[in-house]
Amino acid sequence: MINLKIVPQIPARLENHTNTLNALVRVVAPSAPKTTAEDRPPLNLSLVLDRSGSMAGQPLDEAKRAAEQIVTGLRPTDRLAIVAFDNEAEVMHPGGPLGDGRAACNAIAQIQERGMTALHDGWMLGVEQAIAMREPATPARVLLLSDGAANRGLTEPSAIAADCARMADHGITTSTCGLGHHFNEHLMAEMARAGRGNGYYGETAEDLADPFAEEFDLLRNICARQMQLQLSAGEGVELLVLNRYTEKEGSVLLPDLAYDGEAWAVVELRFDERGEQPNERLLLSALVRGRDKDGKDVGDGPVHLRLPRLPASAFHAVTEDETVRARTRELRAAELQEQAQVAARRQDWNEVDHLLREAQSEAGENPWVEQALTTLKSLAEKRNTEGFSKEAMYSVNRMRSRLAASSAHSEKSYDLDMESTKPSYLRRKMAQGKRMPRSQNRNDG
Amino acid sequence: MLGHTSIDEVRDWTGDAEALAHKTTFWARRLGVEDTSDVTVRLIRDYAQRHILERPRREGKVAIYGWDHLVRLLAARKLLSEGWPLQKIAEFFLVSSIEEIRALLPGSPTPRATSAEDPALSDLRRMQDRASTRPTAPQMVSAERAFSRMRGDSEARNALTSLRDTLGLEQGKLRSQQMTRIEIAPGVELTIETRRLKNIGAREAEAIAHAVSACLTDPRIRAKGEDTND
Repeated sequence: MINLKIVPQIPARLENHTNTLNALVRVVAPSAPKTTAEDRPPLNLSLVLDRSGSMAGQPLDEAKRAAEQIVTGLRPTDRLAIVAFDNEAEVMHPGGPLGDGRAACNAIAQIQERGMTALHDGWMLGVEQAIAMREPATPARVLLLSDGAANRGLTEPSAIAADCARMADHGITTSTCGLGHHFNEHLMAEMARAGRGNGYYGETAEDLADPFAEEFDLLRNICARQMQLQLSAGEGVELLVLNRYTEKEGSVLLPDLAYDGEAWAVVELRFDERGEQPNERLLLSALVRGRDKDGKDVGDGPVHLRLPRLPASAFHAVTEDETVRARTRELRAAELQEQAQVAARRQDWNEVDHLLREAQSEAGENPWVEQALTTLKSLAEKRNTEGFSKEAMYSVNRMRSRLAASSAHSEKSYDLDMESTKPSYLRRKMAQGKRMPRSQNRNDG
Repeated sequence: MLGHTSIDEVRDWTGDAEALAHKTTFWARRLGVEDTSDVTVRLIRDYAQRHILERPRREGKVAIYGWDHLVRLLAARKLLSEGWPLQKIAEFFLVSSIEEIRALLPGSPTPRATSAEDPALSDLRRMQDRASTRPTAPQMVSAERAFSRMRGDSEARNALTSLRDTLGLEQGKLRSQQMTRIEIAPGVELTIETRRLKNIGAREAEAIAHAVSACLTDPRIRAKGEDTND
């Protein structure tokens, strides 16, 4: 079912040199089965909405509208809980099968703005509802939407993220959706990362439509979760994962895998080829393990990367793999964007401009990364610290942990028509905080 | 990981500070507590001063520790490895029974959980317990409400009245629609109605600054900071 591959950027070792070689580890999902909605297990979704004073007016109206859209997309047997929080958290709709959805929609309509932002309390109540409504040990998702900074109850991002990680170990994952320019992007992104869900944001309430649709689409199509990639380097080989995934107990934690998608990691391998070395040398072994949608163990591997040793003349004639090169550059561009985000926070716009230029040259032949950098450049020109910081952070996270399309879609080109043919969770957006421009051939899956 | 059983095996244990240090280091590794660096006598004394450990029993000049101390030390190491500051651990221990503290450790029965209970729920309850023992988060202080029960003039009160005149507001009629939160510095935020922010002029900005300054230095406002106000 899951297919694990290792693809080297150059399928050879250069003799008499210290080598640095990048390899792409691909965990490829199967194609979506031809089944009806009735064939999939029910979803367990706990929706946690911020109703603090700053959400008053359009933001809360749009958030409620997006929540109603989620209700509309669920099946009667899917389980939904709705929690709202301000100074304190309140269950608006207790977790359970949705039925005709009228009760959930009524609950959403009753949400009114007031008070402060007890974000952690809201999240905990969402988790409690998720635990109560799920079948034991089945996965559940908490989707948190907030436009503000946690300012009541537990507020330290690292402590909140640690709680999210702990719940993810129990199969209760957390996705977050920040709204506007005043939420704490570090907190929201960290909760999603630690909670093994996805982090989204929308500049305006209207921009929430894409993240909500993507999250929902993804949940319906997850085929493997709690994915752990074990990597072991050959003797004398140093190994570094460039995606900066969370590591736990010696394994790399990969994002949940959805149909037609590919979870991936670029691994930098350093090894010495001076002196006596065998013609074929083991450089890397990989093994992936996870659980399918029914909770059964799934995985693939171990697979091994062994490459021949070539003299310089033959080595330089070997063709590089385009995909590995493009993904490596994507990660390098992400690294530079992360540095630019830090520079923007300290208002060092000269450094931001310099780093963006450097990232632009790294982007090379990857037009999607170029588009993302153009968005950032525009925010930098306006000296928009909050906007830049958020866009950069979400862009970096997306580049480092996105699911790629497993089909033959080339990553050398980028256009909206092509993106629109993919499931929403595989689309590459030009700007993370903006709704994707509509394409005439848009297929919203 | 070593196949641990339960810290309950050694409920009858007693020993001096050095023995407690050894015992804690041994059990931290056996139970898989993440922070497995060696526990020292000095650390035990430090924890006692911070009220993480209760005072030991005395036999002559020797301090005798027991199972309760061992459990508290192990739980403290576990919470530390999860990012808890020592002060918060002390506060949590202050309001928790020894059985509740023991429940934090692997291989321990959870007092509030039955064997059939979802382990996620047990974990969540620990989070909720911890959250409920935290000091309350910063409260919002409404200057208007802070002065509502006060008589007489003060610079802050006058500044607020003057500010409302400048902004063209009726007393007590400030109602926000969409708010913008400006983080001036860590822990210092200004929340202002977004529509008003867009149209604010130099005179209004100055009046706001004066009112903020007057409120921040007014002892009665500071005293109200301890009250809860939604």
